[in-house]
Amino acid sequence: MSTDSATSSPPLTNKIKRHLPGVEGVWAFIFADMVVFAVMFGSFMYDRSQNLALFEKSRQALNLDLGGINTLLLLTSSMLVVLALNALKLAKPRLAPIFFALALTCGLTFIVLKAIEYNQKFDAGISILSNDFFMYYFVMTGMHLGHVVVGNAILAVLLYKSRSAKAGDSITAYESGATYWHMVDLLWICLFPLLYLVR
Amino acid sequence: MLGTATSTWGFTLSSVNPITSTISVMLISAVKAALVMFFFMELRHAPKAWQLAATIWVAITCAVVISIYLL
Amino acid sequence: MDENTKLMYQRLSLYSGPFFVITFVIFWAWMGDNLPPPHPDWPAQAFTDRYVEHLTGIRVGFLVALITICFYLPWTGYVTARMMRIERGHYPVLSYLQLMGGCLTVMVVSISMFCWVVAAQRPERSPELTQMLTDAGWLMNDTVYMCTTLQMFAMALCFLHDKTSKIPVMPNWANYLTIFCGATFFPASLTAILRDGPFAYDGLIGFWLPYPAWLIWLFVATYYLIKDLNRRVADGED
Repeated sequence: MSTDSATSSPPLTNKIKRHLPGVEGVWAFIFADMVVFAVMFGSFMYDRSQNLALFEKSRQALNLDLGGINTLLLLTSSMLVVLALNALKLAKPRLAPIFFALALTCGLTFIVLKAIEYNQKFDAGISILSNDFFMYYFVMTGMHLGHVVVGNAILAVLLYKSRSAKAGDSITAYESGATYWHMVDLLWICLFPLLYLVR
Repeated sequence: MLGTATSTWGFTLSSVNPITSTISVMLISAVKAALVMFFFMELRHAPKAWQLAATIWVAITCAVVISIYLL
Repeated sequence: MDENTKLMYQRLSLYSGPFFVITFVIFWAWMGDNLPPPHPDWPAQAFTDRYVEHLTGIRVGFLVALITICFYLPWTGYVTARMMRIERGHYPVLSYLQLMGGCLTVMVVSISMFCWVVAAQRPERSPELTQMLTDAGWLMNDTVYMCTTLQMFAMALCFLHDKTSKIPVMPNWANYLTIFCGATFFPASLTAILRDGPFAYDGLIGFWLPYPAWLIWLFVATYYLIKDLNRRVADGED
């Protein structure tokens, strides 16, 4: 990671103005959202500590492969969005729509895999009311899925917008959307180990 | 980043001691979360206050999860 | 109506927002014994006991709160008028959406309190009925929130697209906070399915997140709207 930062960014000097990507409000929104998720993580861990055997037994019923593939999908998608933004910044706007389209494909695949995963659970007779573990599982992954749906809509808008982008256009809107999408990725990075891997 | 994800994945599939594996998994995901914030979300060029807020979020979330796990 | 009288009514409309919040906290939350809320998984008898033990508080609290909730209306009225100045022209759709959302919010919260007033009218009723009325009141608030959410989204979107005001009515972060607070209602739908834990109607995500978020938002919005009104007066803007 350190080599990556050395090559892709200019060295920070005092002359370069520190810059928050996108608009300030998006960051305020994201932090509020992340605090809510953090509270849910804490609540999940607390209820888990009250009933270790049940949570561990239920966890083993989860599909680790689908969860893992979904983690990779979101990471890839996030990286593609970074590439799209770089294309816009480096005045190669024609590449941006391609990257956004690929990122959107990853996002949509995530939804499809999640639907398959939920269906497997329903087929096995597991629902939100089965026990406390599955309550957290369905609610937290469901709320995250809601964020993915909103994120996909944002990616679609950015894809559409970037088709007519010219070099030198303002990229604030792209940065705001990208920041939100990275947060969706970030939340899944935390949610996945919490539900699927903690034992 | 992709490497980290795959390592997390493979790591827990093998049967290591649960406590060691859980704590390493949580620490790895905390590092991944920080990397996403600082590199993907470009916090590394952002004002110090936002960097601090992001670091505090990762630190507190990770600390809370691990301490409740160990209790 | 002369200018000073008009301004006085505008100010009164704005101040009625925080007035509603303060009376809501005192009469709805504190006197109405909603802090903390009843636990949805209690046996029916516990609901009756709650009404019998706090009968006067619950009756007075909700009857007063049913009156003061309507102070949300003048506040909504001012916000609508302010938004129409931004959304000039014959099709101020966001302003209308905000107006309808604000009015319906009053109705939703009123119907919820009305259920509890009915429960408190005859506390000697069969406990199952008291339990049902209490549940009905909570689920009215927690599942019929979309009018309020749309009101908040419309307001934030209008202020975000504002190109006419010299200084934005609300700062960028406050508009996104509005969107966030509006969205905190969504997980409250789960209160209809889950009766225990953080997503029930007395839980962390079912109660302690959306209700404070809504009330805090109203304070933040009023603060900036008053600032905007004073600036308007100082600049002689019509």
